[in-house]
Amino acid sequence: MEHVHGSYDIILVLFSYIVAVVASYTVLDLVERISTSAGRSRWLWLLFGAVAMGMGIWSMHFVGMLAFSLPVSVAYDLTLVFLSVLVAIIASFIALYMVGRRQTSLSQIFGGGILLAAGISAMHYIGMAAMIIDITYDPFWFALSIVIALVASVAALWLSFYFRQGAVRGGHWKKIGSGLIMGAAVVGMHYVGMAAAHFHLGEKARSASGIILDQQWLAYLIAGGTLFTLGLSLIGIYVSNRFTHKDSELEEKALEIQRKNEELRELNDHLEELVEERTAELEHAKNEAIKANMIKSQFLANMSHELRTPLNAIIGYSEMLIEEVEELNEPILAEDLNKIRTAGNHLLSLINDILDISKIEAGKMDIYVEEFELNDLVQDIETTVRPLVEGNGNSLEIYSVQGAITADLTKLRQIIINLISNAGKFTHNGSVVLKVARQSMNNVDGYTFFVQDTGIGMTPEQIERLFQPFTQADNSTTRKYGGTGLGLAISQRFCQLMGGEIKVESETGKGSLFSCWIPASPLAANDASADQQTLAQHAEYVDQADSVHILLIDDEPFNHQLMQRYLAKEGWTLAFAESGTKGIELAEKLQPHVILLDILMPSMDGWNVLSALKSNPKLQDIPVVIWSMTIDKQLGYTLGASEFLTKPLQKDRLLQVMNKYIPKHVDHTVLVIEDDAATNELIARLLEKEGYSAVQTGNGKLALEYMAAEKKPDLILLDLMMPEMDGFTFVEEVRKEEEWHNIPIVVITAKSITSEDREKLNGNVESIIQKGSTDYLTVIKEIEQLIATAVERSE
Amino acid sequence: MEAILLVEDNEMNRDMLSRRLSRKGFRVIAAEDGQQGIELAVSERPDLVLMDLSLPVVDGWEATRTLKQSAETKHIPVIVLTAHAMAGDEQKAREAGCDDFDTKPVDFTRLLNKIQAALAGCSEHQA
Repeated sequence: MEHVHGSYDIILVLFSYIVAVVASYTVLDLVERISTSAGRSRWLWLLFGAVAMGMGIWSMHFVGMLAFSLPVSVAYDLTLVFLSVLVAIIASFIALYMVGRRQTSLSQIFGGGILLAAGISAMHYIGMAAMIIDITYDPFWFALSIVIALVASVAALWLSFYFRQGAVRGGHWKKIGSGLIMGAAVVGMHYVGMAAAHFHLGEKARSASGIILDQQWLAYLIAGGTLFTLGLSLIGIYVSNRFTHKDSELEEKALEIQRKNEELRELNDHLEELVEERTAELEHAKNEAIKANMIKSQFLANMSHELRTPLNAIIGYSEMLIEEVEELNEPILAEDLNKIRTAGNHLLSLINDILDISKIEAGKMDIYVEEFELNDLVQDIETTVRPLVEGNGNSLEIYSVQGAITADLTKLRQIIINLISNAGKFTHNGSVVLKVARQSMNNVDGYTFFVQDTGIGMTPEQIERLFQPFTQADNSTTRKYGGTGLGLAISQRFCQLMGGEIKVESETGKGSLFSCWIPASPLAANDASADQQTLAQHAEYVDQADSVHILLIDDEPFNHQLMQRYLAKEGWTLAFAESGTKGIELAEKLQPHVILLDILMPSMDGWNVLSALKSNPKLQDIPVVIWSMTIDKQLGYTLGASEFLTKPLQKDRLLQVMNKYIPKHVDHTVLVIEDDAATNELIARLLEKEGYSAVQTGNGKLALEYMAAEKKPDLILLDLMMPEMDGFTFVEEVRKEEEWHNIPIVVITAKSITSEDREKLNGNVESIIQKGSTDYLTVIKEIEQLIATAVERSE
Repeated sequence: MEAILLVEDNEMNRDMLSRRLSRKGFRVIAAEDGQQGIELAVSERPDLVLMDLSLPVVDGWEATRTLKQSAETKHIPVIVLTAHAMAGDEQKAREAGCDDFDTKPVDFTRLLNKIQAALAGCSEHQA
């Protein structure tokens, strides 16, 4: 038998090493993936890893074999070659399975290592057996190769386990390093194994039966296996990285969510804290305000007392002296003394005015209502004002109706005297007229006191400032005419307290006309001393209304009246609640368009009410406007308020805000068909005042033309007797048209309707109104309802 | 000639009012504080008392109460005449027991009317 010695191709040896390293690195990388996945994907990863590792080790082995060249050509047994691949893959699979578990003990790593080593060794020696040549092995080298395989396997498994612990800094580089070491170990095992082998040229090599794999075939196989391994490794790394990237993205997201949650919780805690803090502050502010108010009242009382005492002496002495001087027949002295007395009395009226306005401003002015005859009042007033008016060379004329009135006599008297004495003051050698007439306003019976003068009059700018406290039309007037400038402000407030109003028309140089309207008896809703009962009555009234626009929650009855006056004229319906609890209850029942909310209220303050409203799903969509003296906008917005109004209230701003939240009817068109131009104009204006857009036409024909050419109206107001096309024909024509079928028609006519007429119209018109039988307010209300129903139907 | 006891601490007002009342034919007895007022009411037995409220030693409310609680003086009408003209002041004065109430500065005609009324009521009562 001939003994042969082989030699190594150093480049291929290096290449085998690189293959081993790449395979090792891939496995290290994969183990982590296997351990974190579960179910089917775990098995896929396992299989993938096992194939990569097995092929890698196998490729390394055969590259090593290729590097080893014997002087004779060696054939390979193909079956054994494939068997060796299979063994490598199975061994890798078992090893990966062992270490891929979530929890791995050292003994398991050791066991896995032995299995892997056995696999690698088996692969190596089966591969050797595939060579069709006689081989004998040196026992020492053989044993050493087995030990190296064992050490390499255990080390590889331990390292992969170590990397799985996660928190290893610079893990990537360490993994590469480990790949290098493991690669070296696998290669080491192989070459030690090779060193153990002694090749003999004998029978076996020469007969070379079976499937022969020559060097060229071997090269193909190895190239394929290596490429496969490298490809798998690359894919594995790529996929792994992508997953890792996704994982880290997910983790980041989760962290962010957690952080956000924490922030929210903190904010929430903070908010509660803030609300508590604010509540305490408000409580404090309220106490301070009450205290300040008490101090103010005390101050006013003291001032009043201290001022009155010396005034008593001034007025008293001057009056006494006037009497004495008159007895002594000294008219010049008497005149001078009279000036002192007048000045004293003026000073006294100023003090009274200031006290009055302070009381009004503080909402402490009470109204004492009594029934009295208008005549008595007028006579009383005349006695008082005639000398004042005539003193300036003016004539005083008085015209009055008879009748009884229920009001605060003293205050009404004060109002009228103030108006007349103003007229007298600003008029010289002219005339002052007081005229009292019975007049209704907004369907409420009442009286208007007209005071007209031919005096200096006022400019529009002066009129604007007229009812503001401490403002006279012109600062110079104070010097020329005296007065605090409080008189009109007080009169207006008194009048409002009684549910009335003062209006003025004036032109510079041509005189002024003041008109003060007062209800004949106090309105339930406008009663200044509105108590629980009247409030309850009012609430009942509101309950019957179809829709409530505004709900005011305010504990101060005076504010209810103020709001009533400011808003009712806009045609809005109002409801009041004097406490937060009641307010929430009413809000649920009435579903208003907007809620006006006071903050400083006893028992349940506005902030609490606001929170309650906003946390009630039935109420949270209703906009809440805060109306208060102290406003913390930030807190308000946080709790869900929509808008803020400060006290004292500016009417313009109030209307502006309310307009924003209360839907108008602007987009609803009413077609007015009426041949009488004046009536047509009147109706159109009324409608426009209510916010409708009104289209005026003179007869049925014109109306049809408009409807055909322009647009379909939401409602038609129809007169019957008209030229060209009368109302009956018009109704017939309209009902013929399918598109116009649903337009509600309201007939307003002066014609007395016969049963024949009625039959003609019946079923075709919604309502027939006789002119003069009802007031326009009722008509408007009916229109509103009809349009609402029609709109609902068409929707 | 009816005697009026004027209880008033302000010298000027005391002087002014007593002179004006004298001119109208009343005999005026003046007191400077509440204590003196009570004493003079007991010793002089006036037909009417004009009582200020803010007074030294004993205030007008206390003095009025004392006069109205004593059997000797309770028949004498007391008109409170004060610069306390705020709402509620009259109520407080009435609670102290006065028969009538008027504010300063004095509307002399109005005060005379009240004095006459009180004296008339009193004599009516006595008759």
